[in-house]
Amino acid sequence: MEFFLEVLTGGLLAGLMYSLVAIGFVLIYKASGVFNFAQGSMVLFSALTFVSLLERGVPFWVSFAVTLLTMIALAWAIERVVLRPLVNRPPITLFMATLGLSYIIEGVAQAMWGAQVHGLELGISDAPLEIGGMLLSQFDLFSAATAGILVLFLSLLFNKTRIGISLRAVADDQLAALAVGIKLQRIWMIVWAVAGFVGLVAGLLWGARLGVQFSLSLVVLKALPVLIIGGFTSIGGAIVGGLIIGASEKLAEVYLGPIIGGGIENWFPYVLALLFLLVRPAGIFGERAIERV
Amino acid sequence: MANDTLPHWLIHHASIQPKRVALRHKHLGIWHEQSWKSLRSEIGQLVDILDKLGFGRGDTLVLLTHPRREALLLSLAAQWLGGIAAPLDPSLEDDHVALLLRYLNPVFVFAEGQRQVDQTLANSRQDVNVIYAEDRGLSAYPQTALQHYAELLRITPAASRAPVAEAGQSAFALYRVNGERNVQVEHFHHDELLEEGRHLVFAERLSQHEEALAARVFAASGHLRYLLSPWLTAGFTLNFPENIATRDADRRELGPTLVAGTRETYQRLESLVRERLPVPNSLTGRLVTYALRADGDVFQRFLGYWLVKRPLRDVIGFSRIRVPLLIGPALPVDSLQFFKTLGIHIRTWDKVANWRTLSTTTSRQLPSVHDTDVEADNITKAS
Amino acid sequence: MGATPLLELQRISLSFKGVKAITDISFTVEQGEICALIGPNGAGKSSLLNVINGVYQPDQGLIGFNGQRYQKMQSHQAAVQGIARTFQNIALFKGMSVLDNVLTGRNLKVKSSWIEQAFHIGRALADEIKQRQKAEEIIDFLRINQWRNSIVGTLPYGLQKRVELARALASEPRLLLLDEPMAGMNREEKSEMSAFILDTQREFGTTVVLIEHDIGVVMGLSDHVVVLDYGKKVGDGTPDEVRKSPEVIAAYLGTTH
Ligand SMILES: Nc1ncnc2c1ncn2[C@@H]1O[C@H](COP(=O)(O)OP(=O)(O)OP(=O)(O)O)[C@@H](O)[C@H]1O
Ligand SMILES: [Mg+2]
Repeated sequence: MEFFLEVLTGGLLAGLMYSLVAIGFVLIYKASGVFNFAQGSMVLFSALTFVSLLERGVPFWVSFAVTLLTMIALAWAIERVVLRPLVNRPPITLFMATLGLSYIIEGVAQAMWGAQVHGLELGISDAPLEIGGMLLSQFDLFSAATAGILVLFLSLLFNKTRIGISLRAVADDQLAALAVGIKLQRIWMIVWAVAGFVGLVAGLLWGARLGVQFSLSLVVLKALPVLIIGGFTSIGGAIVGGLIIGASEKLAEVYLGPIIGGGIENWFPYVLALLFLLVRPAGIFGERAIERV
Repeated sequence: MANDTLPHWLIHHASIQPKRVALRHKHLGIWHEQSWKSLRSEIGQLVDILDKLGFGRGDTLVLLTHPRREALLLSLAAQWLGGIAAPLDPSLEDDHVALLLRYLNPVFVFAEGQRQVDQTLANSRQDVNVIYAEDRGLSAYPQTALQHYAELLRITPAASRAPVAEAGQSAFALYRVNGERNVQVEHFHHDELLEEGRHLVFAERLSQHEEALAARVFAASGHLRYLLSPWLTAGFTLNFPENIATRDADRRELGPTLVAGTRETYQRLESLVRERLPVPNSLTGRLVTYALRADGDVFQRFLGYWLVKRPLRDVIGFSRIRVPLLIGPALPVDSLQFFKTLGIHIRTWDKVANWRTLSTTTSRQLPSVHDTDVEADNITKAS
Repeated sequence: MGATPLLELQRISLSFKGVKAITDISFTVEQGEICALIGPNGAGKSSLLNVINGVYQPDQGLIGFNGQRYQKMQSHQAAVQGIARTFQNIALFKGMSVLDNVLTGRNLKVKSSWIEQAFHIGRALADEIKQRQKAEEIIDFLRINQWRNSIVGTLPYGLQKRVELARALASEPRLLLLDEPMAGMNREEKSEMSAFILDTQREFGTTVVLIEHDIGVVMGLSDHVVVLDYGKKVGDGTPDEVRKSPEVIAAYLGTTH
């Protein structure tokens, strides 16, 4: 029983790491109705920028601030160059645009910072900590706490402020949003900047775990089942989806692994997501009808 | 008891429980509360206003409005001065309203809004005094006799004077037009009305803690007897919905403990609940039937209560209901049984109406001022 | 009536990929009047409203509003100037409640910053109360109290039209543009909506430009009628003048609808 709890808790904590990536997708999906393929590149780009600054002797918080500013500048550029000219185009066009965008961002990252693997040390030891008889990874606890704070910040921003209502309005009906004086471009820019910020946090945590390298952009693949389960339009859904994936893949690994063979972790989430697609296509918290891509 | 009148009871509550909530009403989406003390002082202001307009003993104040607090307060003020409040049912046809107004030929009218003001002006004497509650559309009306309730209150400070109402006087007069287009009246004297209210208070053990919803306070005699009078005898809280259309939503927000409804009220509520029920033969339908079985064991009853009855009672705002009263014509047995399965035991309170025919309109040419004379002995019935 | 008209269109032309939708249209709308735009389908009525509130930019011409001249309006700019509108195909936030929809109409009146709003400090509280109060006044004005918390997408068509009007009114506009506010309504609903539009003009002094196909409604409601046909103006005057004008009869009133 104790062992079970330990595996479960470990899985839940790891799941929050997936949620972190998934939230970035949710934000942009909500604002512009498009699956942002470039989210993975943004995670990579931010982590790479941060680690490269760090390696050049720039202090931690300065690097963080500079990276954040870079992500905001990136959001601004994306809004200008990609979103504005494509306004009122079908979502598939936008999706293609984000596909192209992901190559550009990765290309720029490579040109700027090179292609080698960087280690990232955030100063948190990965030594296990004993809590209530369970051995839990300190790093996992830290990232879970970070995810918690981030979600709190996002829910304040999107539920309590005018930006939040405007975002929902823009997502619902652009013409009407314009008519009540909402600046579409400004909302897009804000959302992409926030998605960039979320990408930065995810990039740092994942980078510290896997090393900062180009395969980091593939954490996107982990976010996909989370999104399918949690729904594309709900931050809460992204959290719950992450928890479900995290917990079930760890439990499957430990309890089913010996029977079916190892490596379950890698494919189990997709099977789960597939099952969900059959039962509840919109995810647990998603709105119905994801006709957009 | 000489002081057994509605205004005296109001004063009584204002002195023994000044801070308790007497009225609550919803305006622009927000519930506003008024204590007994503040109610008394607002009525004091109204008494002054009516007095200045020349309203006095034996005069009639006609109220042409949906239930709203201003109408209740003005009624009490009129009675304070020894007058009679005559609320007309707002759901009457235009034609009948016109007939009644012409018959009553009132000097003092409270009209809810533009529509009612129009009706009043079209069917009244030149020197009619009209107080209205909703100013929408009325800004361009030239009549100086039109007064906005809120404006009146703003300029008149409260003066303190004792009520001149007497127990044996008529407090309310309900008028209607019958099938032969005759005007009929029913009078409600202070002491009788209060007596009937007390009867209900004892029988149903009403206390000052009740929360009652006044969706139709002035519509029918039953509401005067079994809602208004108990309110003043027991001293509980009377709640006014935002308007007639929002009453179901407001009831749900409020969760009243006392409801005085007519057959139509309960039938509407029943259909609201039935809409929520699943199809009888579906899985959930059978589960509901199972959970609602009256002869079930403890577990079944527990399930039934928390999973079915409570949520359904919430739908119609009956989560806290203690005294559901049916006033007027009886409900079909089916409906009574239906409410019973939800744990709502409806009690019927009714009294045979005592309408007196006053005139045949065919024989009348002009509205008469004599009505009050004709009725004089009736108004101050010896007690 | 003020000396300067509130809205003055000067020789507006608009085309879509070479197809002319509006050709050289000029007319003025006085402060506080109700002006109806009529004309057959495809005459360019909606396009003209879209030009006025900046959804489309005209190829030529000037838009005079409240003493200022604009070569083109931006949507945001129009909203700031006090132009609000409803759409031919209802454009509401379908997933939000009626109250939230009306509150979005208050968007430009919000004074507090997003940081104050997020942490509920500073001006945020007073702001929230004020916006809610104003929104509730409009909800009461249009008698949609009982649907305050309903999700807009679940309401019947006629009510959605009313909610859309409520959202437009919530911004306290000087000019209200209504694109077929009574389309698809039955007679009773139409007369109710007409009464609301008249009340709006009387109570708030709002100037209204509306598009409507029902001639009976137009004649009863408006002070001023402008008739369009194939993108051109073919009539402009009081309802009576327009009714008698031979061009108008030929172009529009004569045709069956
Ligand atoms: N976005 C657009 N792209 C291309 N053509 C357009 C566009 N909007 C309008 N048009 C064309 O412009 C002309 C005028 O259209 P508009 O919608 O203004 O007419 P209308 O008078 O509002 O008609 P209706 O009574 O049918 O609403 C039509 O020929 C229409 O096809
Ligand atoms: Mg049109």
